[in-house]
Amino acid sequence: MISEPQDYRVKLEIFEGPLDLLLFLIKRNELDIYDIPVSFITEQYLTYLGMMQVLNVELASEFLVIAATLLEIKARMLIPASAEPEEEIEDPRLELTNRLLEYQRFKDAAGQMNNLNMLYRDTFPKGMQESIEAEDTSLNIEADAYELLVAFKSILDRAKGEKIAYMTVERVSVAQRINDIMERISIAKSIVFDTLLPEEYTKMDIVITILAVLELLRLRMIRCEQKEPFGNIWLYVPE
Amino acid sequence: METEKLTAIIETLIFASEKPLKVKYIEQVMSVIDLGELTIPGLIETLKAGYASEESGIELVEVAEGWQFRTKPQFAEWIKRLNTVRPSKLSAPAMETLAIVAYRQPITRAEIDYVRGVDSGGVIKTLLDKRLIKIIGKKELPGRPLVYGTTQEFLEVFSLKDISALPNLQDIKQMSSAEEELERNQTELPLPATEPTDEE
Repeated sequence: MISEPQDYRVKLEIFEGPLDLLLFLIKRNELDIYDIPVSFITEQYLTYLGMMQVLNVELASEFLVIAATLLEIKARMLIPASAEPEEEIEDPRLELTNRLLEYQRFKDAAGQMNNLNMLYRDTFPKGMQESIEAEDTSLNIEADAYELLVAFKSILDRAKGEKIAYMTVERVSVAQRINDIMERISIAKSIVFDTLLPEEYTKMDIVITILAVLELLRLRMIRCEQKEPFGNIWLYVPE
Repeated sequence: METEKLTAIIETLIFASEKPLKVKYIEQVMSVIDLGELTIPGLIETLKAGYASEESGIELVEVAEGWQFRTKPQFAEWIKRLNTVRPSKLSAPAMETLAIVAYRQPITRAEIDYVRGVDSGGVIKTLLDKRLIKIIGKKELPGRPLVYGTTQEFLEVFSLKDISALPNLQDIKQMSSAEEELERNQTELPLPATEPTDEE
């Protein structure tokens, strides 16, 4: 045999997650969600997970978290009732039941939203060029994280001569810096990376700034371009 | 000026506008005209009514707090026959996540993950890319996590006048009655450990 059977992987997206699977099992077995027979459902759930493993389906770790939760509830339900009947005992299933109900609500809500008249599916405005799909409109070379780090390093090198002889109490947080950058960029539309720093800066300022820029890039709230090698890195708001 | 002429002006303004046109802009533009008893919202309704007939394939709809001409949903199939249209689609996880954000905004990523029971990072990114959701701030919690909310585009895509036009989360009532039922069950049922359905 040339082929490696264990390389065979199936990715099933029938269940969006463990909660979805649990809801399915509850419905299929016509169980009462307000009174889940934990032992029974745990068994069913684990059987299903086993099945998926046999099929070599990649399992998200979250499936195992819920499996553990189920087992924990099952164990707690086996603990004998408190001797004092007055004492209020919370049903160990309550939290999971609430989560399932909450999840079901949003599944229903998603279904309802899907029934709305969706733009470019059910209804169209004039002109067809637009689509909710994010379009890549970049024309210039896109600088990547590596280029940013190179720029970062060159600024660090420039800061080398600086002797830090004092402790700055006032420190800008990454979040603040993100806000600053977004504010500046929304006014100026585009700014050069180097100008983001205050006139006198410390290493801390640089670190905060690079973190802020990386975070904004990751969230795609800004784009970053470099027109030529070692040129200025421009940051701007994506169109 | 006759009503027909006034509605015609509004029609041209909305038609020429690329985005849903807000009433206040129409009011600004037409402020030079003495409307007498008439109001812009009233005139828009008149104009809208004119498109309601079977003869028209387009309609005037209020989306994202503005007015826009759109094709009637029953003709969507015909437009799809034009090859120029890329049908837009959202996956089930994306729709589900979007629903959670829409109804629960402002919401953090951790809260979304908890409701869905799965990691939602990828889906959130997709929704951000599609500009259906955006970061609207940070929560006063340790780590100051980002909170997400829906965008103007979201309202446009789902043909919603504003966020309150979302379909009601039907089972809010059902939920509270369900919770009562749950409580009742708890008091009526024997303690969990002796529950017959759960015996080993």
